[in-house]
Amino acid sequence: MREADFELIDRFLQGDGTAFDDLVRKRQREVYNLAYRMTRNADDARDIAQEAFLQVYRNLSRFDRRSSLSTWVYRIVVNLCLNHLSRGSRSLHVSVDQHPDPADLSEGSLARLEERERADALARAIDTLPPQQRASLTLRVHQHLAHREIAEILGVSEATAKVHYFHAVQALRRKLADWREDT
Amino acid sequence: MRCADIEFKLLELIEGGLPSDQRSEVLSHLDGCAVCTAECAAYRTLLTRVEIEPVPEPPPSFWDEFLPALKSRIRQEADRPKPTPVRWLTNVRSWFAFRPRLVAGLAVAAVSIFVIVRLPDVLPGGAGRRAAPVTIERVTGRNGGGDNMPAVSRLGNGSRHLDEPLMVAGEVVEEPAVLVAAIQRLGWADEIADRLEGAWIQRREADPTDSLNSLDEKERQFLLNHMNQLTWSES
Repeated sequence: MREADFELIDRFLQGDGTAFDDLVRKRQREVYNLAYRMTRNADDARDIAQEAFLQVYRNLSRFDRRSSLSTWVYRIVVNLCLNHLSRGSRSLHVSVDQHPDPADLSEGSLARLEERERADALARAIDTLPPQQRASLTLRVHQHLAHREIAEILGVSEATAKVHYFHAVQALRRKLADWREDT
Repeated sequence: MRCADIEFKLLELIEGGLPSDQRSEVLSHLDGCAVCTAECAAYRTLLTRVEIEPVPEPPPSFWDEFLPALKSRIRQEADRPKPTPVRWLTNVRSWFAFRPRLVAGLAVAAVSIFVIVRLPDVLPGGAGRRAAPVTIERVTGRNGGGDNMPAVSRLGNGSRHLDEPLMVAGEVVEEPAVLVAAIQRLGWADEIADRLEGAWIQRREADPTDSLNSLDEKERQFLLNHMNQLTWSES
């Protein structure tokens, strides 16, 4: 993966116009998903993803290859998200599923309703996490990064990145305490 | 080992990051403690739920339009005329490049002084004396007003003429909120706005000098003059 990324960068630096397109196509979903998980808002995620790739385009020639391209791109996305969140932009989680018709409260639809309520509760709980904790959580759980890499992205020590992550998980656990009985 | 001591270790156990001796100790505790065993299971369930939480799929056209929209922005940026770099700006750029924290601190200090010296007339209580907006040329002296530096130093006694508008980055400041907006226009000084709002975000990717290009010669000189007058340290 790393070598393939560096090949793309080499092509870009040699003036191959398709290299950047390939890079964007390869990374656009993960960049958008990361931005969405940080901002919890589709419009903000799209804008941040666009801005992140614009920054990648501007600065790719300065990328020093000491980290992987993913880590470098994630750092750009996370910094944009943290700046965005620091300016007070907050999203409200809105459940997209329709609640079942009360006349159709079969066992299956009740289970779906319950599942939806749990998903909403989780989304609301994640919404309340401080940005750095949210970043640590999503970089660890969804991007499967090591705490060392998360620390590099957030510009903090590895111990601090780990504490952010643990506090995020503990906070979610406290907010969703009733899950214990369901396990 | 008590239950109260184990919570953090449970997470480390799930992470696989516990040293072997502690791991044995925690596993031994879990063998005899139904509460902590349930807690451990709840953490695992929680993490699974977080992991599988879906991101809503954007509409089908989203990905078709994503790259073309991005390339359009890149083209627009490339078509925009770039200001010719001048020697002093290159020197400033290299100086700033290694001192992003200092730049932010310096900028906060500069604006703080600016606010302290010049803002009283626009804060509540001074409303009756609010100055009328005038053109940028008049304030910056571009039309040969003889004073090229409408700087704080000129207002060193803390007063300013009542008919003189407060200007930041070419914008007339009539309200403190406008001042914040003006500060935000200075892209490299985004940190100032953050600090004024009590938040501190270090933007590692941003080149703090990029938006010096958005200022004209006099505005740049104006800022740099203030910065040069400041005393500061790395701490």
